[in-house]
Amino acid sequence: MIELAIKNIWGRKTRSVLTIMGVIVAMQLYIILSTIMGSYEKDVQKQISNMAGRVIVQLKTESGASFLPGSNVIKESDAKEVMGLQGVDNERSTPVLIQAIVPSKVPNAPPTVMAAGIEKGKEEAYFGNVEVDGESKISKSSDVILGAGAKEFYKAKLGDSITVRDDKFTVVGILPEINSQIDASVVMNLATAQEIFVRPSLVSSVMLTATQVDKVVELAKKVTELNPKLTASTSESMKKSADEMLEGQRRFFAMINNTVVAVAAFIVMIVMVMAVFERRKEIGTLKAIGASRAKILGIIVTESLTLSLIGGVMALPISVLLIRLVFGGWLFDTSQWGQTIAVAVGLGIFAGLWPAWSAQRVNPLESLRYE
Amino acid sequence: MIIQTKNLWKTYGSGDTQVNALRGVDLTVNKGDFLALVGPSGCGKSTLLHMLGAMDTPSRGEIMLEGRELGKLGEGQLTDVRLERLGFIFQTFNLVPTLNALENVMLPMKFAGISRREAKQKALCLLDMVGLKERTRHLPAQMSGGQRQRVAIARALANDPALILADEPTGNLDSENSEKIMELLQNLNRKGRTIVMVTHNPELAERVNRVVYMKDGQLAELQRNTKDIQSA
Repeated sequence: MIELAIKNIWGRKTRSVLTIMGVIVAMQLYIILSTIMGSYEKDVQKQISNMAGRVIVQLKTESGASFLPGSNVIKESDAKEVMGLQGVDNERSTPVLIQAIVPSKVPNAPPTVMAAGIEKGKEEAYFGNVEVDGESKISKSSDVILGAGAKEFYKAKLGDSITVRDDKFTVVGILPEINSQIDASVVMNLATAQEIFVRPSLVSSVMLTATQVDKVVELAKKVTELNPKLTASTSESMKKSADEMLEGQRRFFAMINNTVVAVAAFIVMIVMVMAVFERRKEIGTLKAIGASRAKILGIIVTESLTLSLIGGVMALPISVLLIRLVFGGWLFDTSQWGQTIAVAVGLGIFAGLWPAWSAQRVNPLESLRYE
Repeated sequence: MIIQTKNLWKTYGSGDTQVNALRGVDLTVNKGDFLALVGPSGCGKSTLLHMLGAMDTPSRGEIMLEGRELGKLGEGQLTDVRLERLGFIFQTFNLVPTLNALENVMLPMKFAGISRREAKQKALCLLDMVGLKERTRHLPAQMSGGQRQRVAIARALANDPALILADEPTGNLDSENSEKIMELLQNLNRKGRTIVMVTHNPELAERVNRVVYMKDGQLAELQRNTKDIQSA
């Protein structure tokens, strides 16, 4: 039946090309949305796992702690007070000033490139104990360590000079890929960041590491008792708030994706209904010469499935190119591709069922009736 | 005997709008017959052809095809009968426009589950037999009416049917092509094929060995031509 389906698709080129284009448009949108959501979720999970044993202190707002620090500021003196609490591993804790350098093209996503001002000598408190290419400490105020994404953005290598807010900096270290926040970071001295972004004596948050891992919750409680204007999030509470945020986003993306798939199914279904209507005599002839109901069903569903599958497969590379063009990165997920093919198959079968059902009911006398 | 009808009735509608398309038709078609159904429009000859072709069921009476009563068969069994025991030739050829001549002839064999290789071999033989050896890869749109009808005849023969049913097979052809198609059908009959043909053309009716005149849903007259039998 596949041969007859392909011949029908090939024999009606204009109709087939337009249908496939409709499926491509819908499916590439599906892929882009799913890929963005998937990669965002993965990144959030990665960031949360990096926070294990840590407490993030931020300004308390009505909406609670923001998952990505940087939107609010607290006084550096308040940060110092928090750092002086008993149970804080001072060597592995630091105030952080986050400031966007290149905002993201995706709404509500972390900046593409951002400055992370860290207290001198405490850089590892920010990016963890990772293998750094070059220096892992910043000794001069004109030195920076670049995250993997920031390095790509500036196309810089060790020893190169980059400009941030009209100030020149020397790249002394390059980080491996860690998570989107650290990858996007230009790590510099806190004082330098405060100066060039005009945030005197202000920081975005404090990253605390507890002396004992099992005392993290206790430490968070001490922070809020010390300064009720602050909120302290552990990796567990961050996970909870991230899950709540992600759940809302998941629902939103799922709604759009379902609509997109429904539109694609509707396009294929309309085309197949029209095709069956136009070919009643041909279908009647097939029945007159001995095609069973199952064969007719198979022919129509295979045709619908083939159209949808061609559109789905073609949408894959197109979506990768579009993501690259719009968001500037090669973002693709092979498991997402498998899911897309499965959706295209489901869509093709679903869209073909009704037309196929009406086709198999065509009376063989139709082959003679319109003569 | 290949097919036989006994007191065959077909009634459409009910009450005041009831129309009897067939009224007690008794007809027997024997193996090797070339029978022409002739009569004015609306006399019931097409309805009778549909009944013989297992495409429609009678309101009353019996149709026996090779000893099986068609009225008692389910839809799936009727489909099998059409596929394996009957061959159809339509007035407007009814080829699948997206398939070439070879693929059109292979189609009934594929429906019957015959392997692609075997179906192709047989389809090539049949196309050779109808004189279209050089046109196997042509689409219907690239062929003349006569050529298309020859492809349709080859398709009708694909599964070696017991009975070939032809509905005005020359109705859409010029006289030259009509002559060729008629010759082809006569040749098939001489080789032992049983054919029932609906036609309006009295000249064609003269070239078959049995002519059945129909009027008002009944068989009006049965005529046996001897000329054709003698020439065979």
